[in-house]
Amino acid sequence: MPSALICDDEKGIADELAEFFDAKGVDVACAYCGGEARELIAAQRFDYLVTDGAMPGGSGEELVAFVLALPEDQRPRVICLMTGAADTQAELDPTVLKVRKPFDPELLHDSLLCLLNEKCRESR
Amino acid sequence: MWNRLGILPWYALLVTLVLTLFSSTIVLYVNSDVYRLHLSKTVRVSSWTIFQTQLEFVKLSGLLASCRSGGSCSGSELLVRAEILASRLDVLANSDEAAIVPYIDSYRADLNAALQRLIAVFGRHDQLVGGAADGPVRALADALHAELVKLQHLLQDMLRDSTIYNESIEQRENALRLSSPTIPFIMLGLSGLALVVMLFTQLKDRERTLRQVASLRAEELRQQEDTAALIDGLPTPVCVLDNADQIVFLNAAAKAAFNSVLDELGSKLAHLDADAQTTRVISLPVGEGQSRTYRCRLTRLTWSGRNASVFVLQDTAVEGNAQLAAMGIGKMVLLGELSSAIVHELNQPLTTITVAVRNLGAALKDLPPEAPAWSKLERIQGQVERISRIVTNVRKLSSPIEPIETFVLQAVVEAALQMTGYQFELNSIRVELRDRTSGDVRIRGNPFLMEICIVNLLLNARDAFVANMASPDARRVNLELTAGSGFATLEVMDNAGGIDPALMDRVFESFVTSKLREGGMGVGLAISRRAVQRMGGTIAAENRDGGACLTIRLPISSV
Repeated sequence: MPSALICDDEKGIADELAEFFDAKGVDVACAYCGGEARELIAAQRFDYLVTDGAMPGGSGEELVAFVLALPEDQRPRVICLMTGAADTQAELDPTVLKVRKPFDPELLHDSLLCLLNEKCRESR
Repeated sequence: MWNRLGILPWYALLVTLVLTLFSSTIVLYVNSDVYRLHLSKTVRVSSWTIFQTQLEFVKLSGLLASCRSGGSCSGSELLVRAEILASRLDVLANSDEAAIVPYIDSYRADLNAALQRLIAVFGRHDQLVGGAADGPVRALADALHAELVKLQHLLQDMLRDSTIYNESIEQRENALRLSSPTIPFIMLGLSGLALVVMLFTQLKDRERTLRQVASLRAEELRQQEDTAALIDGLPTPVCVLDNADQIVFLNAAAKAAFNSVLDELGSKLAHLDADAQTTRVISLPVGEGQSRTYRCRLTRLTWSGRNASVFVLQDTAVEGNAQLAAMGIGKMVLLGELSSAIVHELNQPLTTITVAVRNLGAALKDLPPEAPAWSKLERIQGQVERISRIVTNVRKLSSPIEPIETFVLQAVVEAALQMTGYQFELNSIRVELRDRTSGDVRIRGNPFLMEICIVNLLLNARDAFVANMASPDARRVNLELTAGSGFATLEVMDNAGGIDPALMDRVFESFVTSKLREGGMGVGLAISRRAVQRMGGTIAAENRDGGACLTIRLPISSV
């Protein structure tokens, strides 16, 4: 059972996504700011990190940078950044999946699962 | 006080000095003259009285010598001579004239004593008057001789003192004659010098003042030339009238605008009841029976040294366009700043709704397919997707790239009518589509932008009906679709009163709207034109049959 950390300061989005992933059989945890997400990531390794791009208390890009700086065996296997009105200006790691709001959650789930499978194959 | 009179203190000092010196000179001169007269009179009195006395003394002595030597001698003659001598002595001792001679004081007692003795001699011998006896006459002669002997030394001393006194007076007169003109002349010279200094300084002061006035005048002329050049370069017409209401200056813009109507311009401005705090509006002909309205603002100032009235004339049409342009710039900045935030804020709830709809569908998975909840969910999902497309299109409004595809124009028109159907129904607007084509008309472009374009035209018609408060019974919008010569034409016509003629030329520009006060942004037709142009088409506006007619012309795709 894959695990996911959903991080968004918009509680409605975080909670609905958590419910959606939960229905898909994913073990989901929610964080509503970057600091909270860092604590959870430090305590547990997740398969997915799905984070908003713009949040109070540290942007999603900073959270992604923090995660990418972790040892590979501690960081989430698949990272996804949800962007709002404008595309992010920062140069992101090509392995980071970017999706623009609003999006089809089915498509997001399928993409994450696909990337996770690729990672798993690579690790084998 | 001097300052109040406008006179410098040192000027006053000079004037006072000149007057003082001049008056002192006069006083000195007069006093000197009086003194000289006094001296002359003193000398005259002194010499005259003593010499007269001496003369009588000599005459009487001669007569006595004759009498005593045995010659003929008259007693009365002796007495007369003696009395004359006595009178001279009296004058010498007691008259006012003699009193001014200082040395006589020391002889006055002796003189009076000699006088008394002579009088006593007269008293003893007065019976001889008229007699000629030898004896008494001889006695009188002896008595007189005795007195004369005493008197002789006194008179000789007085004569000596008189000579000494007169010599001293002469010396003083000579000294006065030599020195007296010097001081007045020196003082007159000083007065004149002070006067010259005063005049010279005044002259210099006047010259300095004249130089300052000339400098200020030159500066004023230079500033006026600069001002005239500045005003001449202004795009706004400026007209200057002198205090006789004659036009004395027109800038280039005013010459260009009013060259053919200068008389009328001058007349209207001269009779304009305006002041510096208010503006007035005048109308001037521009040819071919047309006139133009100007807002006049008055400023009063000095022009070429005279009071003048400066009128700034603002073309009200240009002013209105400038206001619209200014509002457009403001709105452009505002839209640029807000668009990103607005899209972001819309995307957040859209994402929530999208995922929530999916979750709700999962929660209702046990319901039968014909349950109404599914159609409701489907409608919610469809509208969310539509909102997403609109938001995406707004975000891409400034982007040159949209997905290009071939779409059927009739389908897009139908979609736009569906989208606005509820609004039209709500406002009692009857809509009719007349499709005069022979089949599907295919257009190469972006169907969403085309739909937005048509929706904008329809919503503008609705807004026009609402703004004009047209009767609900007559509200009508007709769409007519035709095709020919490789082009499809869609006309959207209403009977809502038409477009303001003042805005007709600029109606497709961004932020140009007749709905400023109603909160219209003025971007609908601009978006529509951009959408049509990106598909290779055109859009035009005109007023027809009591309403507006917007015509879209698009190239038909052969693909």
